[in-house]
This record gives sequence, C-alpha cells and structure tokens, in this order.
Amino acid sequence: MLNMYVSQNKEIAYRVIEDEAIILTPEDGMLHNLNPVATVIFEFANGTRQVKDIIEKICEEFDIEERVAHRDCLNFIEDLVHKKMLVLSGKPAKLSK
Amino acid sequence: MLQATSAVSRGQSTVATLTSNKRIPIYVFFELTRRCNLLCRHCYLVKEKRPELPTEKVKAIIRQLRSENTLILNFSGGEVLTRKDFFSVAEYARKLNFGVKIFTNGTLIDDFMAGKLAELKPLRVEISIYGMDSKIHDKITGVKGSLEKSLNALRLLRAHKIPLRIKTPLMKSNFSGYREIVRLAKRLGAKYQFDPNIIPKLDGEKSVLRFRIGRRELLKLFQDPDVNANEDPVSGNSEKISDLPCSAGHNSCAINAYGDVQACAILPIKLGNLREDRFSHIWRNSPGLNYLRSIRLSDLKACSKCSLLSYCNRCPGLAYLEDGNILERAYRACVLSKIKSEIHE
Repeated sequence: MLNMYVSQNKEIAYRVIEDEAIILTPEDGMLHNLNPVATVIFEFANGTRQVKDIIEKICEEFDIEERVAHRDCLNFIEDLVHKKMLVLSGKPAKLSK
Repeated sequence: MLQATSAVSRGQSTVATLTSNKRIPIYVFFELTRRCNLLCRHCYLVKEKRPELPTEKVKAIIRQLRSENTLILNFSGGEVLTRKDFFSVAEYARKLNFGVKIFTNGTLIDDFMAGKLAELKPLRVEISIYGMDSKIHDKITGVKGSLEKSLNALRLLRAHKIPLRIKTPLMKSNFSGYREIVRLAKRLGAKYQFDPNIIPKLDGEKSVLRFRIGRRELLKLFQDPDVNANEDPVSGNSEKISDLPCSAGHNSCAINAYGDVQACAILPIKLGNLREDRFSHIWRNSPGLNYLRSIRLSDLKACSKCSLLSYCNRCPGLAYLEDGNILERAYRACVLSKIKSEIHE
C-alpha cells in the first residue's frame, strides 16, 4: 500500500473551513467532517503522491513520530478508501493543466 | 498519538453542529421558478407579479454561495424544468463543486433529458407521486395524464441509475393508496417519504388544510414499520442541533424565485433580496436572521415544558404560517406528537 498513489474521488463535493474539510459522499448523501490532520491528508491526495509521501508530509507538518504517523495514516486512508472519498491506484494520475 | 493529531473522520451530527456554530450555510434550498405545468390543489406557493431571477443573476448567486462554503444546493420550483436555462444553471453549480438535489414533478422528462440529468450526477432527483391510480393522482395535480408521465420519468431516471426519492403529501383523497407507493419505491430501489402535513399557502391562506388526513389515518401511518424505518440521510437541514428549535438560518436557508432570502422555504419572513444585496451581507447582518438565531428551545414557553417534547417535530415555519407565532405551540405538531405518544406509551 505504501507505494500506491492516492487521489480524491472526483465525484465528491467538499469544502475546507478553517483547516477542517466537510465532505459530501454522493452514494449515501452523507456529510463528513475531517479534523486538520485528516484534511491535510485529503488535500494532499492529488494522484501524484504515494501513501509513503503523505506519511512523510504528516510527520513534517505535525511533528509526529513516524511509526505512529505510519499506523494512523494507513488506517485513515483505508477508511476513506472504504468510504469512497479516496481512490488508490498503481499509477500516478496526470495533473490537469 | 494524541486525538488532536490523529486523522479523524466524523459524522453527520458533528457537521451539523460545526456548520451551525460557524454559521456556514452548508445547505441552500434554491427555488428557481414558481412556474409550473401542474395545478396541484394543495400547493403552498403563491405566484407574484415580480420578475423571477434571470440566468446570470442565478449564476452570480451560486458564485456567492460558493464563497460562503455552501455545499448542497437543492433546486426546486414550481417546476424547475420549465426553466430553459435549467441545465446551464445546474451544470454551473456542479462545475463549482456543489452537490445538487433536484425536485421535479417529472412530467417533462424524456429519455434525452434523463440522460442529461444523469450527466449532472445529482445527489438525488425527487418526484411527487400522489397515488398509483391516475384518477386520484391526476385529480390532485389537476392535469390529466400527469401520473403516467411522472411514472415514466421515474423509470427513465432509474434506467440512468440516478438516485431517486418518491415523495407523497398525504391527504384524505390519496391516503388509502400509500402502500402501493411503498411497493413502487421498493421496485425502483427509490427512497420514499410521506408527509402528513399539508402546509398553508405562503400568503397565509389556509383553505388547503381541509385536505389533511386525520387521527385515524395518522395512527395507521405512524404504526407502519415500512414508513417509519425509511430513514433518509440526505436531509440537509433536518439534523437536530442541541437547544435550537430548528437549523434553518443557522446552517441552511432558502432563496426564492424572486431573490428573497429566507431562513426556510416555508418561513416567508424576508431577510433581504439578492437583486439588491449580496448574500454574505444578508447572511451576516440581517436583523430578522439574527433574531431567528437567538431563539432557543427554552424561549418556546409552552413547548419547552411539554410532556410530549420527545415526540415532537415542531416546525417553526409551520407554526408561523398556521398559528401566526413562531414562538407558540404549532397546532399540527401537537396533534402528531399526541398520536405518537399514544402509540409508544
């Protein structure tokens, strides 16, 4: 999983309000709130970064021990993939111009 | 890792509290027109002589709502598909990353239009069906052949895999057939919602209340497990927030076809007009809105001490329209709460 590329599901609508994302998942119409750490992960998932890059970013931004960040990020990304907010891919996405 | 630095995803009730506390109009009910090709006998809308908002103004308002972090736009009418610019407006909203819900009677939807609606990827399309017998449905809509067209729309939208909800205002004339609507919804994989509250017209005219169902029907409805198990999460403003009588005006509002901003579509207290003012200014500074926001459950003197409070879904808009006072008992809510309490106790 660490080498997988993470991107936001293009179907979802979201807003970031004072460092916290509010995400609308289209399948169930539910609203979800992400805390600031989760929001950074979500916003970082642009399809060109691998899971391991995102863990590194979280360690830098929040001064978190890598072992703990590793465990929590993997759990969180898996959760958001399950909720169809994030998508994993073996290949990087092409950034739109 | 401390909770504060853990990546956490929280649910719907947290969002309701967060957006309410921060005054984010996360859900906006946007009435695009009062024109309609049906003549429903119970309709609460009143046509006015003022011009409706033109396309570019509607789009400008959508941009303003984007700046205020609105996330869900509920397009309604009248009949939204009578607006020639409907798809231009809805596509624009989707381009700005709004989740979009569409209320329609479905009678103008053919296969081509169903395809265009599917391309919008709406959260859901909602269509009112009053009964599976055209004599009943068409009598309520005032247009012969309307049931057939609405059912055809449901089939076409289903074929295009659009999430659907069937809505049924229940009246004396259509109550006996509501179970057939449940069966239709289940066949289509659609959500369904029955509304036992017919609403007075927005100008206060109450003659439509004679259509309301009574105690016998309400007892049957509230004891029907199929109806009461049909929880619907895409409600926008139905999340209960501690100590507030309603979320309207806190994290949601309505805009009518003439550009008036209201706390809710059925609370016709004009807070400002978007032809004259920007949304952000009205949302932050309207004295009417600030008054509504100041109301707490404890301000409802009769209701806050009522033994039926736990059964009550009092609607401030209905209290205002039917009983004339936003702080007093809402007669209809009292009737419904009493019946619910009799069933459960």
